[in-house]
Amino acid sequence: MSETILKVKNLNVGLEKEEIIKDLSFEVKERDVLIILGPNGAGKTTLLRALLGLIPYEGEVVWKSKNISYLPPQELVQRKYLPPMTIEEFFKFKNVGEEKIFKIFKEVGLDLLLLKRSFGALSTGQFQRMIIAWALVDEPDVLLFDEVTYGIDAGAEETIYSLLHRIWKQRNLTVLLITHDLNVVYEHANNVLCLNKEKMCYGEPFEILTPENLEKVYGTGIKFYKHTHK
Amino acid sequence: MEIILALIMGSFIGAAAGYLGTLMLSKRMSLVAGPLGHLTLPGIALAFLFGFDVSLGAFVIVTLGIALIWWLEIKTKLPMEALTAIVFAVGVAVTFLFLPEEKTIPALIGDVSQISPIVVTISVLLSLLVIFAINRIYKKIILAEISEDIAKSEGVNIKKYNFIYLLCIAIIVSLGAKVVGGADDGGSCGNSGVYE
Repeated sequence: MSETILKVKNLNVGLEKEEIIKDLSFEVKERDVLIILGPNGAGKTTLLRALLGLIPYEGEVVWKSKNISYLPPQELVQRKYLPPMTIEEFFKFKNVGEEKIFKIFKEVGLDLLLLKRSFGALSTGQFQRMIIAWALVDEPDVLLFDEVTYGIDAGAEETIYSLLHRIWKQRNLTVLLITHDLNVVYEHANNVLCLNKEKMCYGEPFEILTPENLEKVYGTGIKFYKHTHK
Repeated sequence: MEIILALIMGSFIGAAAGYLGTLMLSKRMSLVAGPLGHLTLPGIALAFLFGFDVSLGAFVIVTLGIALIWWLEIKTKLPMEALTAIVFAVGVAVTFLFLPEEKTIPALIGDVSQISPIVVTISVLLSLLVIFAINRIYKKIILAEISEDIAKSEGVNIKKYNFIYLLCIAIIVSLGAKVVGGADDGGSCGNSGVYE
């Protein structure tokens, strides 16, 4: 039986006098993949930022591990207007040896030649893999991803999720992930937290992602069709 | 001799300004640097009026100006360029209310005849200090420019490093006021950064 790695109790977050998250409580077990679902403005990014202590909150957030890596949504990562700096120089910020960087680049499927390129010269997919490699350098126990496939095409999106799934299995990680893609939820999540300012549902995807619950979360009729191929 | 001293002083200030300027690029402050330089003018004018060191006057006023811009940015959420323009215009207007007419030229373009070996020594030491300080915080500031959230989640105190950075700008702009005057001063940081 896995131990609890994150315990959230009565979490309340307000930004500029607006209540973003109301009285949220849940637990995450070690090696779980928890996907956080919800419409725009539901408080998903705010939740991850509060869990990391990046913004003030009320309530209790208790992590069992302190080794947590966080990847914000890609639109919050700047790639332009930087001094001329190669990816290799960027990774030197981490103060780790080249061998480790090479190993992680191979693990995430990136060509080592990319280390000599500048930030702006990477494609969106390569950039996303590079950021995943950055998150893995510290050998984290927990990964927090916010809309990891924002701005990349469907094929590349599937590859990124497969990569995350492989990393999760190989490294025994706990993953908290924000996505809008219900396919990803069914394929990769152990648990789902449906959020719309407050907890709308929590549990295993096949049990809780009913049309009624989805309507409650998104405020509109959403149906999910499961096809069986024979 | 004055020219040699000015060249030594200018070289060290220029080196520090260039290093600061590379970060101005990523902070999108390159065009803000020029108006910041003009903020030295009220300080220079006060120094001329009351007979104290030009760089000291410039440093106090630039630091106050930067603090005001920083505070207004938090309060109003307006872009830094717009706020700098407001503070810069007020600074220049106030200067010409009380700057003696005969001091206008040295205030605008500097006066190398005022440079002594002690001033050069202090300027060189302060420039080296700024280069050293920026070197220590460079990676952290770049990481914060790439993503504030990533930087914060890795324990980088962004406010502290931004404050140190702005203080370094204030020091270099104030030192530069002695050599090139208020009209041409801060632009050296922004321009050097762009050239680099």
